Amino acid sequence: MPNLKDIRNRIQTTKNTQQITRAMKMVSAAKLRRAQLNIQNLRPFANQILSVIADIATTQRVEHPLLNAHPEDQKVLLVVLTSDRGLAGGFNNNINRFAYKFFQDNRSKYQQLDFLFVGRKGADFFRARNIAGKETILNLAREISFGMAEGVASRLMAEFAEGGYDSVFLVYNEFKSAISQEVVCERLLPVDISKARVSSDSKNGFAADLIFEPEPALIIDDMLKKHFAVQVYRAMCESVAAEHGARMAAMENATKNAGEMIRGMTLTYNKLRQASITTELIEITSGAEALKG
Amino acid sequence: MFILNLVTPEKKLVTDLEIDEVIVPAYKGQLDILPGHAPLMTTLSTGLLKYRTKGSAQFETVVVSWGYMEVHPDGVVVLADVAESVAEIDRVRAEEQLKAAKAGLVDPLLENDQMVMFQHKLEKAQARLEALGIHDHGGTSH
Repeated sequence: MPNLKDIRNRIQTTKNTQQITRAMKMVSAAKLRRAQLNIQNLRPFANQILSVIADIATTQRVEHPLLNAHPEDQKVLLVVLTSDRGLAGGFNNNINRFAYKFFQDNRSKYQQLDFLFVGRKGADFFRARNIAGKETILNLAREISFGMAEGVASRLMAEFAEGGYDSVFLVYNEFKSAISQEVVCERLLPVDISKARVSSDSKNGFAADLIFEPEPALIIDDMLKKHFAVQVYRAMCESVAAEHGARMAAMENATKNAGEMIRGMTLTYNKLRQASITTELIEITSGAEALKG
Repeated sequence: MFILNLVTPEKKLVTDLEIDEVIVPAYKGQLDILPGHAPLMTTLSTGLLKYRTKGSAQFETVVVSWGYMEVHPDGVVVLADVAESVAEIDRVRAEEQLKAAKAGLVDPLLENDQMVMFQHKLEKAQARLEALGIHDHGGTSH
């Protein structure tokens, strides 16, 4: 039977844990707001770039290696975007399981299927299964910035060019709402502009006598690289927002569970205390009775 | 109506502002755009972008680095990697960056892409200082 002191200690420990989880929830909530803002701020830039690429590509008939619309997937690079830290519920696990399933399903289909990890959790998961990534990008700065995403993007681009991959896929958590995320797998390279083409017709009033400086082929090269970096940045923003959302929900649950545990233990504690008082009283009264004789 | 929009991946610096004139650091050299300019599409290099709000005589200065500009009959759209208004520039930091970039460029074992990176940094730092009215006459060392 546990004694009173033990229970008291356990209650105190649980209370401390609860305080930590509550603080983590607050921190995540604040970070989530900022991450959501990042996504919103990026949207006009991303849309504009994509529509310009689509406009140039359709009106000027520019060919570009990154614009191949019907790639034959033989050599594939899968980029797995996870977080460096845990305690975010199923956030990393969902990604890893999805990527692992993708690997098992498609292993025989492709000639070559390589991994590249961004974030520690993904790399750890696959290392435990004896799958090494081509490269692992860790310790992303706490605050993601476009400059940082561009660095990652240029490394991916180099892998694409040097590794001779036909396609680069990215698996990440898309931010749906503060409490829900969805694992998505997207083709990053070659760039798919079919979506933009529909929405952008003649909105910009593309004149026939448009002046290009430098020539369209050079502009589109620049724009495609930018677009790619923007896609990477967007995925990172989504992933970070999703991570904070997931962590917020997980910590909310933990705080609630800790509260329940504290309630249960307090009940036991009080019962025990009462029991011991009752025993003591019985002892005293029976002692007094005995003296009366 | 001649409207300026200046957007970066991280923020919108100028939204639907009516302007009289905008000067941009275009692909090769400065470009002065007035209302009624022929439709144009160009990339921008690192430097100072200046615009004059409608009816105002004074230019506002913004430092931009890599960008893209589209001129259409109703206005100008500028997309830039980095865009900082003069108020946002930290002089001490810009000077440090300039020094670091210069020190980096002196290294004889520099690889090509590192060289490009340092040059880019140098240009950015110079543009920032120029926006503050400080001119760097030290020149580049290559």
